[in-house]
Amino acid sequence: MNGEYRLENAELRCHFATRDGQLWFEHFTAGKAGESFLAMPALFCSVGVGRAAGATEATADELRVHWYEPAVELQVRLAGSTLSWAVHVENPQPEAAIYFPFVAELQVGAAQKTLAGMQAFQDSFGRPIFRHVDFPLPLVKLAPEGRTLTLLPGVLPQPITQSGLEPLWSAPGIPLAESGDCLDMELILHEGGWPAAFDRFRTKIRSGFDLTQYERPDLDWYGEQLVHHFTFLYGREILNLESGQFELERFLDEGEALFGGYDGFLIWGVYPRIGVDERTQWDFYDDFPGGRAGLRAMAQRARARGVRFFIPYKPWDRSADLHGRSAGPDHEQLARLVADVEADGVFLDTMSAIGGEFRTAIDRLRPGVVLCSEGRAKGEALEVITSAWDQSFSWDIQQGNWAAGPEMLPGVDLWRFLFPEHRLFVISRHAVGDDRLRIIQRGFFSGMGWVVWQDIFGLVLTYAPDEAALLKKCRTILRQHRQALWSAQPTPLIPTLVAGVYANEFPGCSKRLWTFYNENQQIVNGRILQIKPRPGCHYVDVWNEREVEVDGEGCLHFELAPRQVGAVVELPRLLVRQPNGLVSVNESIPNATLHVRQPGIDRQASLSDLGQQSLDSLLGTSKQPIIVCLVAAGEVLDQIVVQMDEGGAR
Amino acid sequence: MNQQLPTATLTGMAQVSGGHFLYRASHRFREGGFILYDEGPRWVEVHPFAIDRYEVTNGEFRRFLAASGYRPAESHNFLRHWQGGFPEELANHPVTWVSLDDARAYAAWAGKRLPTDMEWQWAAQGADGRRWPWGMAFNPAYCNSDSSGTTPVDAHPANVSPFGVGDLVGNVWEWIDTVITDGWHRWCFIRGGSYYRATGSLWYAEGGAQPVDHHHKFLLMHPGLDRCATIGFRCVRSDGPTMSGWGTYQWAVDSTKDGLNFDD
Repeated sequence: MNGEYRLENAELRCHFATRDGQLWFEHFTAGKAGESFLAMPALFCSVGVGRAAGATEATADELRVHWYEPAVELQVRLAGSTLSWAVHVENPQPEAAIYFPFVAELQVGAAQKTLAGMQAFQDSFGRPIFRHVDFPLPLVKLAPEGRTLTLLPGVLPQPITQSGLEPLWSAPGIPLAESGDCLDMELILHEGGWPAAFDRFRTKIRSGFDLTQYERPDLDWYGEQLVHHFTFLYGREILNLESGQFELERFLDEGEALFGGYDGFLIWGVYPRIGVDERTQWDFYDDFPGGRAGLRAMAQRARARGVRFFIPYKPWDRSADLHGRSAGPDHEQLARLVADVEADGVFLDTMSAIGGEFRTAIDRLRPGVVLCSEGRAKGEALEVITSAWDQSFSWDIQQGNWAAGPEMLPGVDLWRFLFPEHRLFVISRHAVGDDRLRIIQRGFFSGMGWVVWQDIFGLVLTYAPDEAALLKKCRTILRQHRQALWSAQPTPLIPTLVAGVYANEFPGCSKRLWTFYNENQQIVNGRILQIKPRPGCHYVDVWNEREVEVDGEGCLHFELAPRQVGAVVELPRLLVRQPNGLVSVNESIPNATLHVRQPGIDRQASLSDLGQQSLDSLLGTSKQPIIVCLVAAGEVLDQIVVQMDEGGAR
Repeated sequence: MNQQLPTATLTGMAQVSGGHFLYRASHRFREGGFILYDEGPRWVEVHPFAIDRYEVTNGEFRRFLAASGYRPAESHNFLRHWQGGFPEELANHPVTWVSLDDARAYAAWAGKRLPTDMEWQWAAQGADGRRWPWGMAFNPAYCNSDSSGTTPVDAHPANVSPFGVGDLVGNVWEWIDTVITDGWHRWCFIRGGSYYRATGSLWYAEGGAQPVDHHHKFLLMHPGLDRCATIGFRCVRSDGPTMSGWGTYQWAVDSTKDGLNFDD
């Protein structure tokens, strides 16, 4: 049964034809006179081989095509600038498959650039960049005149494995038995390129989640956390080996000197000791030096220094239950412990999900306690657990240790960009074969936190000086730009102008942050990223502390070292350098201070002093550039870089 | 004094001849590995020594306290199982809830010391490389393994080594004198395994009786945590040199702390 069917409106013109049991695209353009997205005709859909297409019903905005043996109905709709379709399979047959060949054509389509899709996000070695791809990524095609064509799942897909997604874009057919709802698609014509396409994708995925836990004011403090420390209680980092007592202040001081400070620390003393005798994980907290009261005092002293205190929960400690000696359900014991030691957070050892009774029991006894899981909380677990470790993990044993999984840059975690409020902390898993510099860089590039773990249950793996210095630098930069870092609409892997240079974008309300990774073996210098400059703003390479030149086409000119990360920030011009060598501030900002920095010098001035002193008098006669930052609550509001001339700062 | 100890056997020592033996210890794999110690096989020399036939009992430890006035500087969990008064029914059981330093104090008082890792294994294994004091194959009836508590030190007559040393495996772990530090941690070994076996997870420390070539790396933290329901000790004495040196141990008798008072 052959026929022709036209779905069209002001936005899209979609002409279909049925021929030989297949549904064809005859015409597919934006508006009446737009350029075709595909070479026409293109095969839209077929089911099996040699099956007969049956009755076809069509209206101006809807088309239904039926196949028999297997019985499949395809329903195609046009609404506004969205063409969507749904597949109804009446009797799944594993041997039969459904095909959408035009999707593959969209990816390689001639003149216009296809940006994304499963295969498109690969590094120059052909390895996938996205990690944890549990949803089908949108397929995005940059259409003529700046328009964007985006293919999205039509209904919210459940998280599924990557292997289950690949057929959507690449395989010749999808088995009808496995396809399920992921066959339902939307093809949307819109403005805004990849960031807008990714935002639609994010909105769709998030619509299936209840994210109210993330809106709790008592958990707000967690947003400030970037560097956690894994604190093995049997080691000298915190334990005085002579006295057998914990030395919190020394421990925190050393953390400040090495890494710029810890935002939180997780005490770890139950494993590997537990099991030598009958004591449960709860008993240990009575027997650590000072008992629960001692730990509570430690937590209070840490908080007074702005450092949060975490305890672990080990769901596998079941021996007391099995021996009939349990002192009560775990959620009650955990909540009691949290209250007794005044913990700020609970780390869920080995877990990636937890029963709601834990959340309820803890909330009843102590507000403001966050949950962080070792495994990735996905699906419903993400609604309860608001944070997780991001570890590369492998069960291979190398030299008596569990090996790290592959750690590759740029390595973007998809969930970081879908759920920015779900905090992820990069951790090096035992560091055997790990390149810790890469782990630190990956955390920076994707704007995540880190766990410093130097004492792996007795195996000491201290950070080398260059590793510690890199982490300190990364933490400092991200902390100074949290307003952008924790943007609700970050975009991963925005297109750059240089092959092998990757960028993520974090738009804040008054600033924008871009992080970069240069995969090349060479320095990249010059036009790297094209943006739409914002009036009244300037651009600073905060990695190298240099002003960034913006040319007439909105291209940012700066430099990236080989195999290294970088960062550029868009800042409103608040600081102005006067010809007489003074610095003035455009706006009055309460509680802001001025930081003036030059290698070896770090001075602060209050705002009222500004304009009173020239940079010359503030600083020495060094020829190093002077960095002037306007800072409020640790956030850099503006930053200028003053190059020293012969006669000093002018 | 109301002890009913068969003192002739329980306080006796067995003579262990010296010699070279092929030391080959094993430990359980844990995350983070096991570092700074050569587990062998390697030839080591052991000089002749005498070793307690059994672990030091609660009754013997009570006599020590009464005679010496020993009180640990940090008393958390010290003899925790005595807190309701001396447990007469456990008089012949190995003393537990004692730290390594508590054990060393006892040994010094008795004119003895704690065994080294090599000495303990040699006394338990002898020259033929056996895995259990009585032979190659484990027999749960020969020792106190996987039960709910300690037993009298002489409750298992078959739990005896070629040198005539009893109750080496199962019942309680035994402190070994050697403390090793890597600058980040202090740790020692415990030997023999115990009555207790945690179940339900592979992340627990190994439970039940352990073979004579097995030692457990025990990270030391704080006496309150380090004292366990499952760790006791026995002593050795030798006139000549040992494999590794040991210090002389002194304790501070704190007259202001007299929380424990047991009549001898």
